[in-house]
Amino acid sequence: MRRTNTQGARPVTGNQTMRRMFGARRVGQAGPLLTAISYAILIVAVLIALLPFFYIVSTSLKESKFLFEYPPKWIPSPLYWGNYFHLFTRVPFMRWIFNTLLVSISVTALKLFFDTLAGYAFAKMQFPGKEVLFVFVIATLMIPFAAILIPLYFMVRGMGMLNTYWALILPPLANPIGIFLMRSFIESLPNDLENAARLDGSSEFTIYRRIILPLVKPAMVVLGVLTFNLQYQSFLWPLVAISSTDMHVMTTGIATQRGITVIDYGVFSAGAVMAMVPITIFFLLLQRQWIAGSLAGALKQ
Amino acid sequence: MSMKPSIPNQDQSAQDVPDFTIELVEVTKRFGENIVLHDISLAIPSNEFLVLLGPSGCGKSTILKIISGLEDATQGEVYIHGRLVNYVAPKERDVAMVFQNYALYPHMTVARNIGFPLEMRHVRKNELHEKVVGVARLLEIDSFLDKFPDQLSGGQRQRVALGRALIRDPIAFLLDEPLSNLDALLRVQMRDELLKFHRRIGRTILYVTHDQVEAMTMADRIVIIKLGVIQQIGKPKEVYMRPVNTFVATFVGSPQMNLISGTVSETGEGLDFAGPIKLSLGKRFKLPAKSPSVSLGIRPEDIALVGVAESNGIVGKVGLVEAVGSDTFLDVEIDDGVSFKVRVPATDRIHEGDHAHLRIMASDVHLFDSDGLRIAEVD
Amino acid sequence: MEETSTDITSVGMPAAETPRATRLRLTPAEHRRLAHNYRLKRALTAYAFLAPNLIFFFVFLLIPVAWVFWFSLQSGGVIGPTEFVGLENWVGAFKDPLALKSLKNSLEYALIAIPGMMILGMIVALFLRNVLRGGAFLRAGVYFPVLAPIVVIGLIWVFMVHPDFGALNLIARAIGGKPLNFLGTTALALPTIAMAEIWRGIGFWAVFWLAALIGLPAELYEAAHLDGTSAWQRFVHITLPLLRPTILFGLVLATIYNLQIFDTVFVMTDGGPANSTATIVWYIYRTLFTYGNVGYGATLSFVLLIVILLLTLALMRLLRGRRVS
Repeated sequence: MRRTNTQGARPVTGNQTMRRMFGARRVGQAGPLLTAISYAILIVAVLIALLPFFYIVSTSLKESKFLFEYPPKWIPSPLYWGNYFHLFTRVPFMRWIFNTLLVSISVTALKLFFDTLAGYAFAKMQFPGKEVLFVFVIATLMIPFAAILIPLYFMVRGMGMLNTYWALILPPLANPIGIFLMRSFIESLPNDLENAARLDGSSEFTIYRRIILPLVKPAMVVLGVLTFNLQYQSFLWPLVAISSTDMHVMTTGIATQRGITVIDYGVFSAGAVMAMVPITIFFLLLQRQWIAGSLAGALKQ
Repeated sequence: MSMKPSIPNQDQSAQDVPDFTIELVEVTKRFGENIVLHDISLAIPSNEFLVLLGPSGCGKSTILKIISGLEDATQGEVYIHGRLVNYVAPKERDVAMVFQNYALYPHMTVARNIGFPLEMRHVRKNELHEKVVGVARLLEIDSFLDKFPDQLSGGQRQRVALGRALIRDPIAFLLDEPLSNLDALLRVQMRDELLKFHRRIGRTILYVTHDQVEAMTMADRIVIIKLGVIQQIGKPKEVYMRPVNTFVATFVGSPQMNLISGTVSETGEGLDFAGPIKLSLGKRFKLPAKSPSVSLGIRPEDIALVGVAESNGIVGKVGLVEAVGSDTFLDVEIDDGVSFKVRVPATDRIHEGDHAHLRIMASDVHLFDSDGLRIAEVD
Repeated sequence: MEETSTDITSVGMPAAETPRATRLRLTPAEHRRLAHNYRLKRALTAYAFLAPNLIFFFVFLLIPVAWVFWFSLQSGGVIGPTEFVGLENWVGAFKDPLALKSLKNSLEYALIAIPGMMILGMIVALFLRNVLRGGAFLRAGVYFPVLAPIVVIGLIWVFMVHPDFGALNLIARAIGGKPLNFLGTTALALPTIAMAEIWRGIGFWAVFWLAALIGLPAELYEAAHLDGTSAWQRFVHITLPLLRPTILFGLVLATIYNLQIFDTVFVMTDGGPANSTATIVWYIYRTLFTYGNVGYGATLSFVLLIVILLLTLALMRLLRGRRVS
């Protein structure tokens, strides 16, 4: 993003953050020995972090009966695609992928819209009860989802929404973290900017749309990534709200396979791998924003 | 260039003909317990260049915000062109503001920044573009129309901000410390340009600054404010020559007016001042009612360095010598811890440590009572 | 001698004696009315901006919370109608061994997992701060498990600890040890789940701490370095104190998350063996679908709510107290 969001200041993009983090060596920076040890330890850490994934990919490419051979082959030959085949034929996995993406993207889009609106109101508008309401919003952060699982279930059932996309999209919208994030960020935009717009003749909504929105893109990326990730991983609620096989999302689908396929480890692992694919693609594409996003998100706190 | 929306004149009584562009009536502003503005009343005629002058935090910017509608007055009334605007949205008040940091929309080009107010009024594209170009030419920024604010220098940004204000053809311009972010040279240049601008557009300009030089050189009238209270309103010369209290006296004029405390006593020939110096003031002033304690003020340029014979017996030792080109300012210690700043022509040869004989004309003296208020002259 | 200004708007003192144009023209009552309307309009606009969120909050957060309390006084509910049983549920819940066990398990787990992931994450962050080139890649690598749905993490670890072909047991076998049935052994099951969550959590916390560390003022470190301090000393005396608010925040965050683990439990052990991995949320879920006594579940939901609230408040006060002293 080349555009600045305040006079002369540059936004914290992934690039910026990384440059700041890995800028010129200063006094106090690690000496060569410490750096070497750091690299060593970090490489070990990365290996520990990534090897299990390789392990499961490898498992997914083996026929079940070969799983038990010892010593095991890291890269199975020949590569067995049957697990994946079964994955897509025995259960509606494609549909599950579609469901997951539909729900995740919908929730993200809606949340971005509503939360930037609310964040702007809290940050820049005057109205009675503002402080009280905000404290209240933040307080709801302390409500654990599991605590309201049961009544939420009955409510959704009562509304006749069980087993529908609405059930998966609407409840997650009641999460205050987005408002909090947006408000913090919007507060940092200079007051005079929207004051100038007010004088120039904009309505509040126009200010929101034409002035604020273009300038909150970094925060929207953070929130978007956060929300999307949260939704993608969501398990407990879909588990409760969905009953028919083809309405499953990926998480619930692969977890409930236990009952369906009698411990077919191969298919299991194929499911796990496939569940990782979309998110890995997004991550690789948006890597900078992603990490910058969670960094910025953490920094904002 | 008249794209003004028509202002329905809500005014009732026949005698309130709007011959003032902006009026503030007993405007008070409170932030919780804090009183920021105290009973501010102003009447600003059209085409006046009025400067609000005062130290940081005195409330001058708040006055602008209240006039423009970006803040509400806690009490009092604001009139723009005869219409009560307290409860009118900022965009309908027909005033434009140039902010201290310009507040240009960073994600829009100069052209779109300038044209934004018209865009908000749904002016058609070609007409809008024409006006933008027109304003840009006037301010000599038409070569930057496609640039973004972060590509411009401070002076250029300021002109864009002016253009955005100008394009609305408002009845008044509010400028909030527009020159404070510019370097010294540019500031002087822009001062002249703003004055030319004012002459050309012929509209009321309300200008806020803490720099008294700016105020003195640019204003038709100056309003001096301290801690939310108006100290004095008047033409620059008047404020300079007849400051209404010690605050104004020392705030306006650089270097500061010399102020010494002492007492006055009545003699056959009028008042005599006694303090670090002794001076006969003649019959110019009357004895203050409250107390004989007074402050005597004399500006550096009203003290002359003379020979022993011509001095009124004021003698001191020269401390600091500041040569500033056309003038030289001396710090002359006349008593324990009391010194006068004296202006002498640069050609005078005077050195630190020299003895200086000073002459003060009683007619140049300013006298302030024990409350710091000006003691009026008797005539 | 200057003439005094005869301009009527030239004031020598606060406005008192200014004539004509400067008298208030509206009564206070009129002002109040107009002000009221003006501010009402503004408030309505603001509330319009907040409306969608407020609606969602009300419907999907507030009502359920109120409901939880009401529900905890009922019995039945999933299939048949509910029956008001008053505080029976509360009494019952505290007598139900499984409910108590789930509380105990959750706490035990939290005590392992929270320090585990936060400390290991900090260690990784400290090292990450030292490296210049390739840091981005290393960080992405460490962070990668955070991306995976927790369910997938659970599944992966089911495989990793499998007695027959699990990677851990293969390593054990390779070095001549005996394979362990991690998830089947009562004593090992909960720590195994903790291991899985810690493994995932390190990535998140590494990034979290790294961001916090970078936010610290460099000058302090430069000064300390010039004073001849060791890295460890700098860590203890500069980094930690400066990070205290962040640490607190992190602790609250970690506690809230770890007290509510469900996905890993469901997928790896489904509460077993012998309920040794029954956690609070798992128990709540179970009451809804298996035991059918929703009231118990609701009671525990409420308990969870209170516990998390209290913990958060306690930690906040802890910080303030320390700050003051």
